[in-house]
Amino acid sequence: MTGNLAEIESKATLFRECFAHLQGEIGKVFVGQRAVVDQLLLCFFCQGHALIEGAPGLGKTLLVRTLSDALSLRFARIQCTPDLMPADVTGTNLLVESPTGRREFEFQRGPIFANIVLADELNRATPRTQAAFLEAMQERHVTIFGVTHVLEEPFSVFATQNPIEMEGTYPLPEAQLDRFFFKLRIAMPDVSELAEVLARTTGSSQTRARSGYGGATVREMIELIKQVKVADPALQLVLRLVRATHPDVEGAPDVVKKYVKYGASPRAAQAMILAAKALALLDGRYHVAVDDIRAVVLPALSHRIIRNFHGEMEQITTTAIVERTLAAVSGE
Amino acid sequence: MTRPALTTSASAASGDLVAALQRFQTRARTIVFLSELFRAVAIGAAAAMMWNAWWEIAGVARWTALFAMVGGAVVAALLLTYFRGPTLKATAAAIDRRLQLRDRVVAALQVSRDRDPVSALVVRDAAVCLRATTPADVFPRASSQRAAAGALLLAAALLTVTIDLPRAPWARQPGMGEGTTPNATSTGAATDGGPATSPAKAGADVRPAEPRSAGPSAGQQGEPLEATAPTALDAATPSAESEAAASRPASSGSDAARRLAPTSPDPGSSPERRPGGGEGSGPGAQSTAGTPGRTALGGSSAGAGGSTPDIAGMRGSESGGVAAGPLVAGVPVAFPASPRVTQPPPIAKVVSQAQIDAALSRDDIPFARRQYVRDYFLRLRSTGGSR
Repeated sequence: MTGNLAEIESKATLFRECFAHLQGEIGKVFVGQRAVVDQLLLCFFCQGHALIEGAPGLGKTLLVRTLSDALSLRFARIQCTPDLMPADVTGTNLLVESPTGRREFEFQRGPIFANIVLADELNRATPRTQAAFLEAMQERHVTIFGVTHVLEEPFSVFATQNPIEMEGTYPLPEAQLDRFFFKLRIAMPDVSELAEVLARTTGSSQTRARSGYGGATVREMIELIKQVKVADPALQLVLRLVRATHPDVEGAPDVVKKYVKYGASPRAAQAMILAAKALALLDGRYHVAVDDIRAVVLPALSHRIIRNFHGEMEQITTTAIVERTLAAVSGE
Repeated sequence: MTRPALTTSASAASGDLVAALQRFQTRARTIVFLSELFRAVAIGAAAAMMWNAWWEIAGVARWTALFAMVGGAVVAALLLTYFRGPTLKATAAAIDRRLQLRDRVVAALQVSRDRDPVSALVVRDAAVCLRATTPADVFPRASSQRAAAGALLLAAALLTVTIDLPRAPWARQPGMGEGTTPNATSTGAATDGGPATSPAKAGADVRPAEPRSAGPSAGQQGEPLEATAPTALDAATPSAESEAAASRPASSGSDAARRLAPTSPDPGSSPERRPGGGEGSGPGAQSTAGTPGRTALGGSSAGAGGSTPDIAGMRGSESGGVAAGPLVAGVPVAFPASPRVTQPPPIAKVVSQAQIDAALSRDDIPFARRQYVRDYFLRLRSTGGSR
């Protein structure tokens, strides 16, 4: 037991060090947005996928690229356009000629076969191509010509989308939105952060993140996170919260009944629990507390709630709905 | 080889945690018990005071009522604590909340039976946190409004039991202020249209019935209350006696008034009481003699200030015994003869302050009647034992 305890504790310490290292390395390149960085890292260590939303030029792509640089992992970027085909994402069988002169089909892996995949402007890809991501994101394997290819762990898809320019885009369907662990919103930096951005990017020296931990370490961390216990109050809060987002459920808050069309799925509960587990480890605990759940409610729930007509007309944001639902469920 | 060691260590850790939690639970239960006790004592003391106001109705002594109410409150508090006291889980949640441990103890209690290393770490973490504090720190004993209310009400109840407070008019026994006897009640209602509020008033209420009886001992209408009140009292006593000695010769009313103790129906044993019996032989006396409460009151008043057998006679009247002199099959029963007293004490001896106080300090005289008895003796003393 003592050996096991020491091993667990050393892994937990390593996780905290790894997290701090990534925070530091990303901070060298990406200015500010600490909450977004932390949530992105949580998402990665929980092996979730994140949808990063922000105006052009706020560093969405840079953030993901810096993360991959800070980790010694394979990185792939897919620039989504309307003519992007699924095979461009997953890969396809190509007819190749062997050295003996024999022609045969050989599977050429697509960019999805990476540890960190950046799907830039995912909403510009056609629904068909977007669907190509579905199996990979959820099942962590792709099937091409009847052959299933397992994706290597760790595997995370970080998609970006621009909320402003919607012409020529294909909004992500709810089913695909639900597959994203978190939805992160990158806000405009304040003056000091903007000045720092200018100082870093317009000078002669460009800073790059130093790679540190590899895939094996990350996989250990992922396993460790799953072992963290969940206290009953925290679990009850998650259950109540997810149920409360459904307008047809008895006891749903008024804001949900009035403005929500569809509530969060069980994936939302999974996301909250997993992210809270990682947060607990970061806090030096081996159990999830209610506060951990509160910290991850917004990024886990806001994109999983579909507003109804009244909600859209009155421009009630999903963030406001989640906050009011959380307050109602917590009895605040 | 490793597995048993793991299990033993984990179970020991969880055992320590549960043991530590039980200490906190005991403390929490104590606090809950005290809180419930204060509330229950407040309710019990209030109930005891109310009971005390009407305690003669049930015939329960004041201390008994107080002990019963407060004791019942303590038992209720114990039961409430037992059934509604904090469980181990609730205690853990309270500790987490008060020490801001972020659900450490709750989680540890939850996984205390698990045998994996992470659970052991959770338990160990909680145990460390619990070790750093004491149950008294987490559940301090603080004075509350409930405690203050309980203490105040208990003190008030003790005061009301200890001190003979005059009873409020509305709380007086019918036998005291409003007249227990059917005669007194009926005549009082017919004359005044309402209940009498003092012994003197009670006597005044009786008087309108007396012209009907036209007995020589009855006071005349318009006579001062001070003069009529003793008459109304002792009218009962000789009249009860009068049935037993109906053939005795009547004597003056003043002699009869001096003989308060209706001790012996035997005319030979108490020659001085014969005139009283003669006085009671009038019609008015007869009407009063048919009223047990009135008869008992007259007997008890004299007995309290006089001698023990008379008090015993009063007790008999309280319990509705033969000595009360009620109507038994339409015939008033005389007070039994006291074996120890053959000669009733003179009024001058009866009306001594020490004896009055001694008699009144005992529980033999019901609380509701003490004021009445006190007034009676004081009135006697002021008049020198005569009307």
